Parts: sequence; structure tokens; C-alpha cells
Amino acid sequence: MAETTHTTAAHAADDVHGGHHHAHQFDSAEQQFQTAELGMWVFLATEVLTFGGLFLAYIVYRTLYPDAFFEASQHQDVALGAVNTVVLIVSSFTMALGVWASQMGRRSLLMVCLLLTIFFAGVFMVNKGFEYTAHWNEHLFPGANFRFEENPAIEGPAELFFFLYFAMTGLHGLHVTIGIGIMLWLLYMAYRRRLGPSYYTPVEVTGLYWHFVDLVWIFLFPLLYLIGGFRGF
Amino acid sequence: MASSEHTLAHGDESSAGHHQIVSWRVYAAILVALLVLTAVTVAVAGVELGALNTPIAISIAVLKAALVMAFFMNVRNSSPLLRIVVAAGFIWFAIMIAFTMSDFISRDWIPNPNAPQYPATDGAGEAIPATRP
Repeated sequence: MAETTHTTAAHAADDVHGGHHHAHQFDSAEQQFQTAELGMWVFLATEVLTFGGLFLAYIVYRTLYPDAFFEASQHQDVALGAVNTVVLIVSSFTMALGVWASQMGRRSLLMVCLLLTIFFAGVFMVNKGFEYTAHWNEHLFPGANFRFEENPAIEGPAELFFFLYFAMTGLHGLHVTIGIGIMLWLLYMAYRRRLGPSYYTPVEVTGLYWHFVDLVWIFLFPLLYLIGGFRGF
Repeated sequence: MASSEHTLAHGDESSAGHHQIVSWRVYAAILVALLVLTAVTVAVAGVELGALNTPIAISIAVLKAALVMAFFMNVRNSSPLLRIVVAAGFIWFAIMIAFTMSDFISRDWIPNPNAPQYPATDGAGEAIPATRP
């Protein structure tokens, strides 16, 4: 295999790895794919530290105020949180299935998978809206209207729990919302027949992002909803 | 191959070809495992186990996260370079937690009258009341 014209843009047109055009700075479509995958993981590593700061704050303040965190968490709707956990895990599965569908060239299955993932993401956000509304009506949103009537002695630390709850689930919800936007764009790309076995990088890289969103929730659920049943860290 | 020196992953012929397509059956099996673990973590949270509840909940979450990363995110088939980046994010997170908590936990090991007290004080030695003034 003579690769003498490797650096010329013209070579891209007859890429042997799958027929998809790759940008001239890459040797092959495969290398371009690996670069995109690596780039997404570098971004996800920064995301680990973004959410990590909030997890650190949670660990510090739960260590300082274990009883207040326990009592404040009694206001959480565990059933709704569990439903949302299942919804997000299933959406991760439909996203993974979408990657498989695009690899196999099954365009309609890919579009169904993307629609299902968007649907589950929407269900998750609607449930979150119900929870936020209930907390708001119970005066559990941090700020001037915050009340912790059953035990005013721990109102400050309880407010801290709800500040962390809204900050962590809020940042997570922002990621879910951005994910919905990206998947709508993928749906359009699939509709325009721009995705398939020779080029599915956007599907796979979006999948990485979406699984990471699932990953964050896998930790948020036990930390924010399942403190019940014991006191102490 | 002339291109091997330019590819991100070494071992061009064996590992940097088209990456493997993972069957949907694998994804389905992982889905079932994740749903079972979710049910287990909810069930265990309802049982009074004292100080064991949180370590169990975190362990199950770590197991679920490992399944998501290894299979859904396909880290198990990834290049060494990618694994280093994946590991780096979590190692830095662990450093952040370990250093911060080693400070918080060890603050009262050596008596120091000038050390800040927790719960927080207002600077004059008076504890800030937990309730809103």
C-alpha cells in the first residue's frame, strides 16, 4: 500500500478505511475518530472535576452536619428519584443501542433510538420540575424564604443541604438539557443521511457525553435521596 | 505501514484498525445489571445498618459507574492513551477529596487555640447560630 501522497488533501477522497472524507491533518478516518474520542474524554475529565468540586462540598458539609443532612433529606421523594434513575439508565441504553444501529447502518433504528433517548431525557426533566415545584412550595429553596419548620435549630445546615441539592441537580439538569439539544441535532443529521457505518463519530462521542450524565446521576441519587435509615457519615 | 508512526495508538495493525462493534446483547445485559443494582441500592437504603448504609450505597454506585464506563462507554476496548486520560480525571478528583478531607478530619488532632472552629464562628469566638437571626 503506497502512502506517498498521505499529506495531500486529495488523498482524503479515497480513504481506504471506510470511504468517509477525513480532514487533511489526519492520516485516516480511524485516526480522526480516535482524536474526537480522546477530545471528548479530555472534556469529560474536566467535567469530573467540575462536578467534583460540588461533591467535595457535599462531603465536607455532610461530615460537619450529618444529622441535619439526614433530616433535610427526609423531604426528598425517593420514589420519584428512583424512577428518574431508571429513566436515565434506560436512556443510556437507548443511546448505546443508537451507536450500534449507526455502526450497523440501520438508520431508522438509529432515529428511533435517538427519539427514545430524547423522550426519556424529557421525562427526567419533567419529573425534576415536579420535585423542584414541591420543594419551592415547601419553602425549601435556599434564600430569604427558606424555612425548616420541624426543626428550626438546624435550619442553617438544612439550607446548606438544599443549596447543594439544587446546585448539583441543577448543573446536572443543565447537562441533560444540553444533551437533548445535541441529540436533536443528531436526529437531523441522521434524517439527512449524514450518519452511517462509515461515519458515526458524532453519535459515539455524544454517547460518551450522555453516559457521563448518567454516571453523575448514579452518584447523586444515593447521596441526595438515600441518606435515610441511619444517622452519621 | 507508513502511517503507523502518525496514529495516536501504537500497534497500528492490531488495535488501531476499525474498533470493534459491540453487540446490542452486551448493552442489554448491562442495562439489566444496572436496573437490578438500582433496585438493590433502594432496598438496602431502607434497612437500618447504621454507619454501613453510606459505604454500601457508594460501593453500589461505584460498581454501576464501572459498568457504564467499561461497557456503555467502551473503555475496556480503548487505547492506552485514552485510559490514561480517563484515569487522570478520577485520580485528580481523588487527590482533591483526599487532601481536603485530611485537613478537615485532622484539624483538632493537635490543640491549637488559634485554629478556626467548626461549626463556624463569627470571628469573636461566638458560634454562628444554626438558625437565621
